Amino acid sequence: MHVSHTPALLRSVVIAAVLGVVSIMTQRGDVVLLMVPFVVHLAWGWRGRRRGEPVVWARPMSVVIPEGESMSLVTRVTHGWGRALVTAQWPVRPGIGLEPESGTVLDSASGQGLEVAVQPERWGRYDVGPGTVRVGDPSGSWRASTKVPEVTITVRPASSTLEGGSGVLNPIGIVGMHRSRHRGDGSDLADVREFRPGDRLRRINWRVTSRMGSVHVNSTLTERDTDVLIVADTLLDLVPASPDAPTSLDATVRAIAAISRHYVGFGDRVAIHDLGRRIGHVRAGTGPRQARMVLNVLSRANRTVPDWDVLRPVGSITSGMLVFFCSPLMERESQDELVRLRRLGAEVIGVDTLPEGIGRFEDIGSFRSESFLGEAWMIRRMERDDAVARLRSIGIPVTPWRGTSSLASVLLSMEAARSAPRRGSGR
Amino acid sequence: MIDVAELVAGWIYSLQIMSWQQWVLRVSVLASGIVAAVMCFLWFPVVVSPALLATAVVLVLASVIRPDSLAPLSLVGVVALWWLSGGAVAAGPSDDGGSPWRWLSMSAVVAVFHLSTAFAAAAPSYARITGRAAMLMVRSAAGYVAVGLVAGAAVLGLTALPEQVLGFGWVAAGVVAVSAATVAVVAALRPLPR
Repeated sequence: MHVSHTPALLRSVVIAAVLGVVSIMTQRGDVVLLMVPFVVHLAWGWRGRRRGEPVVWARPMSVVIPEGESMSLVTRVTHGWGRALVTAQWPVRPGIGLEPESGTVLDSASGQGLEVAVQPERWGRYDVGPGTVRVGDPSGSWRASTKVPEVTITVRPASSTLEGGSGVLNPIGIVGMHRSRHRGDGSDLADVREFRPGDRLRRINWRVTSRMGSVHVNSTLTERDTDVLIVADTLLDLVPASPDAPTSLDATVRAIAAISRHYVGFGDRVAIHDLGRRIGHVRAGTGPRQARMVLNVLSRANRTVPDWDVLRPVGSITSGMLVFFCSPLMERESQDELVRLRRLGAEVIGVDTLPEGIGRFEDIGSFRSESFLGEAWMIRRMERDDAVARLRSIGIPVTPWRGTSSLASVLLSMEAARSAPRRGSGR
Repeated sequence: MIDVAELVAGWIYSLQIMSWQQWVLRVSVLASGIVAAVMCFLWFPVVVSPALLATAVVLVLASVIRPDSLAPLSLVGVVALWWLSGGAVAAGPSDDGGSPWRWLSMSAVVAVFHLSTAFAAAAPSYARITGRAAMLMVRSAAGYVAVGLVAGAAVLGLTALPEQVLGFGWVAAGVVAVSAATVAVVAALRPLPR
């Protein structure tokens, strides 16, 4: 950090020197009087001359915060002057709100440091900076400037729990919280039947036994966990006309965060498969650690990756696996993959992440009048809606993502289907 | 021509995004600069006073927009020129009792202009200035102007002495002091060995 003089000091030097010469040549005392402010300033500047080179550091260098919260970038300076004026300047960039809005603060150097509040508008990873710090002495004679390295801010997406039940038709695990159709140790009553060798004595239903005359026991349904696969279609990131409106990637990330938190809470194994390249895969896992891992992976999702046209299909599927397919369903390949997963035996729920405004009639005004892009998007949306209707007609529920209550009706209907009367097999 | 238009557009934009704290500093620059020019116009009349006044006003406006440019130096140069030409024909302290106070007040106004320009150039025009920094600036400015007034009064006292008592010696002493300070600061401007 190199200390150099300011234009003010240069001004004092030049004027004092010139007026000094003039006062000698003209032998006038009044000229000395005009020279006095600049001589005083020179003396003041001389007193604060280069007392060591300032050292600057900023904290934190890397931080993880939840979506919607803000954090403070604190810049501290050590310098040789008794007092100093310090300017911290952080560059303004889209997607980040700064307080003050300009990201620039002039403060006197103190132990507290200079604070600039940073509030990212959305989830994701942001690099703020590099910042610029300028230090000047109180006389405005000397200044030094340096760069502060970039600060990385990772914003975890907000993960509210889904509303509604589990929607699990056939739990495929061993122990868990979902009611299965298999009889065994559990809490839900399935039947009352006669005692068989091996039945536990605490299962004896004494009322029925006394009424029927023979020993009867309660038969229960087992409770199991299941495998949940969340498929993220990030081939395209569809951006609405309004810069503040959520994109399809925003909706996908928020849906994944809510779904994973919901099923991790049930004790299920949750995995993520990315059809594109923006999020990446997450191996199946359970518990709070898995929930944190999912959020970390989502917060590192990359918006800047260009759209990708090569789909990475889901590898293996277990029959009965619960699959949430988060996609704007604009591409034919994505729609085909959704149908393929269903045919492999998975319980598939389509989560439509296409932003509401895209392809609507009202959206035409956001395009240039001489282009037909608005009309083209309308046609494309109509084609997509037709594809979604066909998916529904073959029994795949597709529901638009509009927040945590979006899947409630689908999950409830799936739960109802589990307990509905079934036609017996082999009759 | 396009460059001039871009330059002017840049100036206007820098005024648009200026923080209110910087506005206070720039108003101080504007007020002290205009007052200095008007005082020169009234107290040191010369033939080209209207032209000097117009030039000074333009330089003051340029100083408000770009306090780190050569405009403040040029304005002080204009004021000094005015002082030299107008002050030469004006009455001396012994002839007119009001003149020393005029000189002193002119000196104080120039000091305010000089320091407020230095403070305005310390940060970008859109910077927010905290209360602590503002207090430090106010205290510094008050001390600077006070010391300047005391030093100016001392100079006035010296000029009021009979010429045979002090003679030309006070001018020589002042020049030596200024020369020493100039040499020292020029030496200080050289980069320190690393």
